[in-house]
Amino acid sequence: MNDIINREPLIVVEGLKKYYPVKGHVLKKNKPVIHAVDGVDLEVFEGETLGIVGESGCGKSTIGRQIVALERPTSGRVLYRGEDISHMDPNRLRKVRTALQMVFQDSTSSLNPRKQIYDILAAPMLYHGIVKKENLDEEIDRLLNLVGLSKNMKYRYPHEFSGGQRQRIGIAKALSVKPKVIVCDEPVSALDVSVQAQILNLLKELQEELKLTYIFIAHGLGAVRYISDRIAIMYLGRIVEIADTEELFDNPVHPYTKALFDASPLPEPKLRDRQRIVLKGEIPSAVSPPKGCRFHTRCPYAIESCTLDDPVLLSVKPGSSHKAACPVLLAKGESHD
Amino acid sequence: MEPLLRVEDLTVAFMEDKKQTVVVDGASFTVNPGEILCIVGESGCGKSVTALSILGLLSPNARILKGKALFEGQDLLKMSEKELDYIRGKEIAMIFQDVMNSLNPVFTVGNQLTEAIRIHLGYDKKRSEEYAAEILEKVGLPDAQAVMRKYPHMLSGGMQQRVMIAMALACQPKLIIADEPTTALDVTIQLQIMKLLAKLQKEFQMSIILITHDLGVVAELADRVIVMYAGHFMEEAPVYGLFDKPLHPYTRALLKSVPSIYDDADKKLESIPGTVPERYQDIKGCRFYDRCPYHVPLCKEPQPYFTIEPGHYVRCHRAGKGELTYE
Amino acid sequence: MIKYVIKRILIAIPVLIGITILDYAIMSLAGSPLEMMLGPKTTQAALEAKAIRLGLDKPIYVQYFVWLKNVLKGNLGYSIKSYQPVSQIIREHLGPTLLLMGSSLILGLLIAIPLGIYSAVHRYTKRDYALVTASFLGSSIPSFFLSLIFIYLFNVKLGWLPSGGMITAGGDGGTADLIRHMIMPVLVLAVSIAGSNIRYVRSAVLEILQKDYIRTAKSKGIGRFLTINKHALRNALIPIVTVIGMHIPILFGGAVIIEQIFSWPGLGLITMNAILGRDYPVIMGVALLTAVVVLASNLITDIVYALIDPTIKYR
Repeated sequence: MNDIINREPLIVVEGLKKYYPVKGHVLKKNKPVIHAVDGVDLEVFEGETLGIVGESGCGKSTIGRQIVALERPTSGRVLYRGEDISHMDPNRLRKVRTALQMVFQDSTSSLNPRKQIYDILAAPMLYHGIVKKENLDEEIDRLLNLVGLSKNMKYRYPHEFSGGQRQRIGIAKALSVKPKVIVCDEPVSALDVSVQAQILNLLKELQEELKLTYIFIAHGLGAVRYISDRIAIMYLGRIVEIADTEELFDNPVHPYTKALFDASPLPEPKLRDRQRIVLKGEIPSAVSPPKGCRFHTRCPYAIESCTLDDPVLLSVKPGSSHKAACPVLLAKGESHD
Repeated sequence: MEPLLRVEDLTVAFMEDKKQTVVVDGASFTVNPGEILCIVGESGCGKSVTALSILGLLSPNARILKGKALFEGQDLLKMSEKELDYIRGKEIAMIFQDVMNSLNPVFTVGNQLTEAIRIHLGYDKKRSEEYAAEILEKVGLPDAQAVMRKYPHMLSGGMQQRVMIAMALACQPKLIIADEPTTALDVTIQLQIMKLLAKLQKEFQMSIILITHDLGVVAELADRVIVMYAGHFMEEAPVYGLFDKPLHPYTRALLKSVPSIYDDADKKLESIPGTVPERYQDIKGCRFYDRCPYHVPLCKEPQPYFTIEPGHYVRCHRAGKGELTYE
Repeated sequence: MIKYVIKRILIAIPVLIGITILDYAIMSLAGSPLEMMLGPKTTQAALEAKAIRLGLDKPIYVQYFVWLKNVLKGNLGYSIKSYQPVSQIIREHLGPTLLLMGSSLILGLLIAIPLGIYSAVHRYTKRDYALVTASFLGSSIPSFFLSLIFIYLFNVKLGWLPSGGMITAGGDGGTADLIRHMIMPVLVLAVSIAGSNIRYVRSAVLEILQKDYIRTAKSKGIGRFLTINKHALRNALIPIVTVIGMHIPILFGGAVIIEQIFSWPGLGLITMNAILGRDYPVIMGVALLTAVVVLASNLITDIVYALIDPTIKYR
């Protein structure tokens, strides 16, 4: 666990909405859109790891892209150190970008296969003027060492490395411009189990050593729990629950959170017949999300009002930072299960 | 009880530019009627190849160097294509990993579903469509008529997987081979599919060979487990025994490196240093040697299978002789 | 879908106009047809009179607009050489070209598709290599060379087939006679079409055979015949339709060389003569026809795609 350095949030996400037009439709009124992110507010504090968890279509990767300003939101904004980066002019944004970096899931496609590792790492550093040409060699060696790779590898090409090693290179690339914040978008999902642990541990060490702030996006709860200080659970473009990690696991409130926990693979065969929520049905379309609470179509606790009212995130207990968007279960107070 | 399938000393290699790479090395196992056998391992260990070779579905550059796969007394590996076609889809069926690409995009679900029914069961068009609808309902797609008219790309991942399962079940096979059937699915859908498979297995009294890399899936469904690494079987045990008392250092390391939400909050994730060796076919001794914290010179010799107790085997002389005491 | 078709047709109109402008410009770069008519018998004065009569004394862009105006009224003009209406010339020669090219295309594909599939299924065997080699030969042999060989063989030496023309002069005509005249030119063309397409079909089918759904089909025990001829072939239709779509414009251009060698009275022949003689109206008539055919065949190909490939949706 890391000490949170100060309570002023480093990143603030306000009313973030991002809609994508459905492919193939001529732009006209009432064109169908994919409501990838549909109203999200977040704060990320310096030095912490915020985990964002959800299944396909929940919008977690989209949020990641808005935070590193890879895309502009449809409405709402992202503030970095108080400055609005969603509507920043390109020149200023270029300077701010070095502070916000991303590590991608598929390092195979995010590393240029025709470039040597040396060039892949050198390019951003030279572009942003992070390092002088004379010191380039030294810096690259240092970076490779930092992520646990040997400096002899710098003249090799990406395809000569294993998946885990490529992921390390991706991390080195993100680190090369000396960022303050790294958004990790499913960084271990494509890796073998034994390698996942290596990368997770590496990320943890780097965070401590370099005082980094992480936003860790994943669909696997186990990995997220291991690395995150706080976790936000997303469903169909909204945050349905957010809390400190241990509080979330001790005390999940939202039915979707509970269903996610229940569905999480548990390497204990004796518990295979335990009581669990098995959600019915499919994840609804992000083009026309269900009315009222988006989750009500699959929720085992849904009542009539759930089909009408769109719930907001409310504190579980007065003053608590644990919030959930489920009036039904919040009302039940402590006695829920 | 006669085993349904007995695989002996299966060895499979791939040819590339006249070079041969042995991917599965002397795999031997049995599958009993009505049981779920999981073969678990990381990518590249040869588990999918093992599964595919049983039904003769390997790519053209694969060679089965030796081994037998005895199904009800007959060796599947020696059968002609025609003979195998009687078994495929009817006695043994398969479910594949990448569902989206495993269903033909230009034919409707109904077409693909009734195809095998008509050929193997000999039903006419009408009867086979009725029967297909019944199967679709069994796999949790109640709106069967509508689904049958759709094309695969119109369905979600979970629904596609159910269609795939329906196709496999259609002729009521004795054995289903499932290659990572839940890997590409969202976790809540994964749970649905796993529960479905468990239910159907009981109902149809089938055996399942389930290939996976996910220990959670193993814990959920397996009766027996085989742990595979670099082409070798490292440990075989009943599922409760494997998780209770994992004996092979690789099994133990694997279990410790998976982050679970049920662990203690401050449990440290222990990763396995290094990576799977590349040309592992040349390693005659234990292939886990480089990454094993317990290795000794004797490990460089070919390792035999030790029987710890009936049904629990381990390919490690130290574990086999009880030399390893785990905390 | 209807909206899509209408949209395509609407876009096609400015494209067509653009094409005709380009064609007219390029054509006029070659020079005036009047130069071709200059000879010992014609005086300068007579030429100038002719120029005024044909409207060739006006600037190029005016000539173009006059042409365009006439086309929109349905009048393609008159051949400078023969004074015949262009539309009549085209009509008379279009039929033979279509017959020749259509038959060659069908024959060529009937050869290429099964052989391409066979080759793909038996890849890397001797049969496969033999077929691929044969297909290289087929597409590489110059058509005039093959024509001459055929003529030498079947007409001069064996006397089985007539050496040219579409029907026997002074004969009764009839289908059998027509077919005898068609055999050689169609064969020559079919060999060339089959040659290039065997490899194309082979590689399309090969790619499909790697797909996972073929493995699924195999795993259902439906047998090799169905797996290939139902599951693979149906997917191979998509690239095959592409090929057919690409060939249709060629159909209309006619095989100029073949038509010359076999004296086949088709479009290719008269187009060639029109170009050599700078017969503007005929050239433009054929150019316009070609442009319309290309645009139409592209559209039809796209529509056919949407029909055979359920994953494609046009809006």
